[in-house]
Amino acid sequence: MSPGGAVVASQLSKSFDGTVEALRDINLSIDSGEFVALIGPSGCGKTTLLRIFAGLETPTDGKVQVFGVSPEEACRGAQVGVAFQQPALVDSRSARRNVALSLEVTGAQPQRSVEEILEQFGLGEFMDAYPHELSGGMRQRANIACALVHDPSLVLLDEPFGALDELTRELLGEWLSSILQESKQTAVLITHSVDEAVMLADRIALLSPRPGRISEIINIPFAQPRSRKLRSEKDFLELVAEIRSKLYEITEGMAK
Amino acid sequence: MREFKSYLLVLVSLPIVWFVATALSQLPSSILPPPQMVAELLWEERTSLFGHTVATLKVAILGYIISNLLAVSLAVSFLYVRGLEHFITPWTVIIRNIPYVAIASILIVTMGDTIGPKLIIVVLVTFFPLLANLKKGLRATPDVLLDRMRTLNASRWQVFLKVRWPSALPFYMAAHEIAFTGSIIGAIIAEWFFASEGLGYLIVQSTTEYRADRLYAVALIASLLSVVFYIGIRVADQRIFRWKTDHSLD
Repeated sequence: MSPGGAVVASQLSKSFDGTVEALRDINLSIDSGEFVALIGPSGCGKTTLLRIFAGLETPTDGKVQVFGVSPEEACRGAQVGVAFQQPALVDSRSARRNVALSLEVTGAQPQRSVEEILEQFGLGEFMDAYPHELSGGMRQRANIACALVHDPSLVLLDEPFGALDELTRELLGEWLSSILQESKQTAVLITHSVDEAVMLADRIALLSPRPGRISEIINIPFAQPRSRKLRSEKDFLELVAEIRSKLYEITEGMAK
Repeated sequence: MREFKSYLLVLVSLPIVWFVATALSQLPSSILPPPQMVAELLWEERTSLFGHTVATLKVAILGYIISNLLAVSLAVSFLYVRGLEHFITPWTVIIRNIPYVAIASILIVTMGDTIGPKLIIVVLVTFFPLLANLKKGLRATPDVLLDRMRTLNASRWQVFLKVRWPSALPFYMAAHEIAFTGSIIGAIIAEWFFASEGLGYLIVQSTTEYRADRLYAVALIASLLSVVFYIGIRVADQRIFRWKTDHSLD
């Protein structure tokens, strides 16, 4: 475990109200610039883990450091950007002003202006549209733009494509991956889709539930950036099948 | 603006219905004065009626401003001072349910014919819907937005101004729709008890003089004021929430 990593969690445990054990003995070290996907059945504590990285929950036991400091401290330095499952947009602000909100609050001077980032996110024509005027995919893109605009070194994504149809999801995934590749930001993505995890991540942390533990960390051998063709290649499909069967094992083991 | 056309329709049809009613019922003009008689009185006593209307408006608007200041500051304090809401709520329930009549009498005995008791009555009539809606609105902020603000290390003030207040605003505007017209009723009730000017005072005076025509004139003015207040709020509402009316892509 390298102490210089972007995110270092050691012996991390979390229980709610002293009874419900959400996470136990989580050890995970994420390198700077790495893309890690968290997958696992519902209730395995993925979201709780992400919220701990974001400083929104405090672990009951163990230690977590983000760029060598506590997550709260990292947030204070505007180093963290979070995209939640539900878009965190203010109804009465246009897409442009919603993205700008991150800058208003942090006071960050970004490399890319709000307009540039919205252009890049394919929302150039919809900058002045309000959230209710945008389609689901556009809202998610605006949501991710809000999480990225202040150039955080760590991007935390909690199933940001969860509510979308498969095709939109794949396209947004490709697009997000290209953006993160370019900016060299560290990313942690929660997803239910094994395909998505294998397609995007450098490593996958497989979580098992009750209590949430890391059952395995899988290296994804495919070089970045990955092309769309990879999806239909044999190696890719085999790896997806292998991880999926591991997920089945975990889920069935849970039922016993 | 279509919603306001129906008010125009009322304005036109009211005198007609009224006229037909007086003609058909054959009631004496001391009980049901015909519209032309009331119109005549409105014109003849216009200076005095205007003065009384202004007096009532002054009480209603000033009272309403005080009511808003109180409701906003209390609702915001509930949000940030732990336990305050539990401490204050029983008091608001009790005060709210004392009959206005009892409170008005007590206030007049203690404070006399000053603007004080009138303002307090207006506050009592309008305060509770404002407080209830503001309380609800300030807590209606989606958790994801509060989480987002936390990860951005937003100050309390930023969270309030940029996230909490905008989500409370629709609730606050809805409260105005109910409460603002209530301020006129409150002012008239207060003047009816004890006053030497205002529409409420005019009601008492006209009743003792058996002047049905003037009572109808006062009723007309009071309802006209209420409608104007209500439309004013609706117009403000539509201006503030203009962004809502656009087309959706979904």
